[in-house]
Amino acid sequence: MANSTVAIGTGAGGLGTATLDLVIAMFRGTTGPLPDFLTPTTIEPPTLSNANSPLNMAQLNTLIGDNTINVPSLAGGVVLAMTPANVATVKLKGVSGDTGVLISAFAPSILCFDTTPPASFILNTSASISLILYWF
Amino acid sequence: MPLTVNVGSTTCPGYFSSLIEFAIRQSGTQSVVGPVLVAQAVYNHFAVGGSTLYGLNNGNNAVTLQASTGSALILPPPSNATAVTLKGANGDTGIPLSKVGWSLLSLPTPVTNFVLNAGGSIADFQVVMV
Repeated sequence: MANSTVAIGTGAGGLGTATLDLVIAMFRGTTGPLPDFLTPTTIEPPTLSNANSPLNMAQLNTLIGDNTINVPSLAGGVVLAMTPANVATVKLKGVSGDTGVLISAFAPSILCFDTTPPASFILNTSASISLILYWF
Repeated sequence: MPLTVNVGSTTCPGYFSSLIEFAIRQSGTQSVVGPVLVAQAVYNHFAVGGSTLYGLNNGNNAVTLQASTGSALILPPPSNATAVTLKGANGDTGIPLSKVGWSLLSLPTPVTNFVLNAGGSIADFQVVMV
């Protein structure tokens, strides 16, 4: 049985330009000895841009175990936008036999691919979760 | 061994909170969901404050995460031409990442490490823990 996907867009590349901006702000916390009034430190990595983006998104409901995610051609990367209510152990793998990297089931992760993206990767989940894949 | 520079607090997680925000914007022949595709914020009230690992050696590099790390920003240098692969363990095939673009992993507790495989040494490669 395949996992459940609902896709918007064709999945082909070259449909337009997508950019992705990220800002990380760090504040003095409330559990330390200092009051929370300091100016935040920010990290702003360079904007990711793909002029040949597939401009594609897909809702995914995973099955327990390995779920193969086919990467659209010319995709610059993907945002794994997890549903906040998800409860599962989630691993990113290159192939089924990998140990994999543990990632959050409820907070988003972002992968940026090389000029030639991988044909696919695997999302291994201990329980069914839902997420949206934003290909940029 | 990669060099770690402690920008934040390594011994007392929770001195910092972090807020991560991102947004996708798109334009083209097929505007599927409008100009702003997604914007989402992630909080970590026990952040380690941006401890940064610098440099990758040729081969597998174990990235050891500080306690309470909520996210890891994988940030290659802009001029990098060396292949980088994200792995869970040394023997993994892994997922090839961009040589120059950043990736962000939101991490569950208690993830303690992952592996970055480099095709050669990369001097200014950064992994920022927040």
